Amino acid sequence: MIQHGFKIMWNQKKKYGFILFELFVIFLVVFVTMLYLTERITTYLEGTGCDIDNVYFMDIATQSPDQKQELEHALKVRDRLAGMKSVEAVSMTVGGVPYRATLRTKAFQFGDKRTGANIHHVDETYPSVLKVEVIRGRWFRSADDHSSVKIPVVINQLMAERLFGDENPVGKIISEKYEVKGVISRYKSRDYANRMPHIFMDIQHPQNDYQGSNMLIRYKEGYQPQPKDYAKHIYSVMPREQYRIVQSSRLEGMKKRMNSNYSGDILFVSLIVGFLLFNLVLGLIGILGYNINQRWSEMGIRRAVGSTKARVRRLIFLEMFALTVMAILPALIIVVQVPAFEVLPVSWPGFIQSMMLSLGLIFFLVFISVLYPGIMASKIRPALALKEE
Amino acid sequence: MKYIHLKQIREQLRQNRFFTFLSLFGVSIPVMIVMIMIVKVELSINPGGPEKDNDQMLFLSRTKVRMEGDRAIGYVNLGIIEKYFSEIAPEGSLAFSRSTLTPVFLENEVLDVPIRYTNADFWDIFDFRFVEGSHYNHEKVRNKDNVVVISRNLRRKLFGMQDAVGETMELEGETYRVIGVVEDVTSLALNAYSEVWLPYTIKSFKSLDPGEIAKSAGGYRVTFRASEDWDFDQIQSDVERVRSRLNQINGEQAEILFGGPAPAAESYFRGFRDPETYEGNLLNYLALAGKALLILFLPALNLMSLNLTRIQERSQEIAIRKAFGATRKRMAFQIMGENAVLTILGGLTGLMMAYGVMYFFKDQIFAGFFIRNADQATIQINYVAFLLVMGVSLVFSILSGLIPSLRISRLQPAYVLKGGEL
Repeated sequence: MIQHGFKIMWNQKKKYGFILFELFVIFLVVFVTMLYLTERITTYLEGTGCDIDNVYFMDIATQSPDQKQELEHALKVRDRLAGMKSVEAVSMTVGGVPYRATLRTKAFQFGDKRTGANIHHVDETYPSVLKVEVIRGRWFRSADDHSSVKIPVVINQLMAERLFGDENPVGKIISEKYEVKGVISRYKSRDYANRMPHIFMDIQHPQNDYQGSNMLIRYKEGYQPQPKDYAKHIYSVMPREQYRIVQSSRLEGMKKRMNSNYSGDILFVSLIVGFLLFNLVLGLIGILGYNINQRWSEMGIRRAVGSTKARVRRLIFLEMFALTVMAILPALIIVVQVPAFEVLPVSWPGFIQSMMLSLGLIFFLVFISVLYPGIMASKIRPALALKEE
Repeated sequence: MKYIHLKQIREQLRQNRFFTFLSLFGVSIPVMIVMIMIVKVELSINPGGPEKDNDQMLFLSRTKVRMEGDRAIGYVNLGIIEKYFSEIAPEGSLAFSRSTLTPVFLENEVLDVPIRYTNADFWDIFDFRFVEGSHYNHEKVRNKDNVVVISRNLRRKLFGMQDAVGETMELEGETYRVIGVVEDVTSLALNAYSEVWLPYTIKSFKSLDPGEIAKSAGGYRVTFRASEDWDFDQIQSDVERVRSRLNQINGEQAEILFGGPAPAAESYFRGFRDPETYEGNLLNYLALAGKALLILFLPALNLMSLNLTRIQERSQEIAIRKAFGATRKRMAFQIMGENAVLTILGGLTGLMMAYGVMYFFKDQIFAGFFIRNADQATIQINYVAFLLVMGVSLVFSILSGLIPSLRISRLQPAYVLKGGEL
């Protein structure tokens, strides 16, 4: 039966040439879109690895020449804020704030392996504010780690993989200067960013080049953030001549703002492709409908010599699937080259996933378009068809 | 074409409702999509409102600093602006601003409101429409006065329908006096958009030491306005000179790179990209044109196969007409004429649909899905672009009629009338 379907299609290849070509192009378009969408959506679903609900961000700029005094001020501010009734935990940091546009990266090495990583200076309370998940070792503690000459750091899983492979990174020294204390499962600077190596350094370590400070404040569930009180505490320690709060926002708001463009783009692309596919379905229904009309007598004969309704219906379906396969095969050959020759940075699993999705979608759409013409064909009454002939 | 021919086409279209619908749909949807795409790109390049004269401006918003094994990317450092850019720019032709987000507490909700710290010339360079009051001047900026200009939208939320000038409001823990209210600005205007504007000096320090400035990224967007004796080339070479001075200070230690200053279109295409990896405008335009062509071409394929199938169905009609003396050319023109009429109708429908969709989904389409503020963006269909799109669709549709008409020209009337197939 399948062979029969292919044969019928092959005999009418001239008539179906355009549908063939259209299916071919549509498959390519759907595939590329699927690649884009799955990549975007999986990237988004990975998340930043931080719990940012109920976290408030204050960026404090400074112009004090004395770095030691600066650190003292920041620590004092942190303790005062942490003492507030509505506040659960406070962390001071430079760079360890998700959803900001500024990035600092640096190259690190272990043995002969090298990788670039985003640098964040954070303190010991950071994991209790952003709830990053430590999967190996522990977060650094200023009290016991300051005696060491090496700066204690925590890295994310990706960086651990790049530098250490399967080895346990805890206790190893990176770039002769940093001692790995722990590994966190994941961290990203925004939802739509690709996975990157990230390194968190102890901001309080004496060897660190301390510059500026940001406060991340986790307020308790059920409370509102109180920026006015936070500011009061900050300015009660830090003199206004030397310090300014240059930003004061909820991380929630920063996230919304950062994501809005990307989400809009995804929606726009899906809508366009959706319209194109709808168009394809209507076109197929039209063409098939006309073709079934044309084959009125053929179907009549089929029924007359003993084909059942179901068999006729099945034949129509098979024909269309044969056509789809004929169109998709050359497209597959083209598409496989994407990961095979690294035309685009696509991983095999992602490739196969979007391939499956687009194959499924195309076959589903073809199925829907054949539904009505197929039923029409099976309803042909043999006597009538033959009489007309 | 004579009236009778048009009448024939009309009858054809009326008698084959399903086919007509399919073709109209097939043409109008792609035309709609492409028109919306064009409007979206045009609006992003020139969002109107305060930025409506942006063909006179150059924008600079990305800095990259390379150090050994270390790099930082961000906006532009205030130190560079105050110390160098203000030196090269003639009076009143340099605007710069930094935008953040801060919560404003209302009775039963918290709004995350965008706020923008600007210099005084910002108000001369961008063309804001004031509802009441006025903006802050050089003196207020110098004195670090706690004054703000707010949008009409924010005024409604904070003060209801009343006038706001003279009232006070709280932001980032400090108290400010409202001195002006402006018409809402679309969030597409990346360099001017905000709900609150205030003097940048409130939150800035006097410039840091030159060595530090030369190798830092910062938080500011910069706009240069060109004038007769300071044209685009001049601005670009002046900024380039500043850059080489900075790199002289940096010496071997570091290198600073700017993503601009660039005209509006280029800065739209550059977006947040690394200044070093920008591959030029042409490629971006080609990519857009490619997408548009693909969107227009796919439905044309659909139409082509529909036409082909329909010709089979109509072979008897055509054979009769040929038998009565219609020439090949006549028949070919009829098929193509039908397609052309369908395309024109479909294109006009698509244009109306584009208007409708853009009217009802303005925010979602133009301002990102979650920040809804395209209210003030004036949607203007570019009719030159529309004609171009129509031209392309017409070419496609005539092509889609071409092959069927060629087949017709080979048609043997007697054979078909006896019941033979094409």
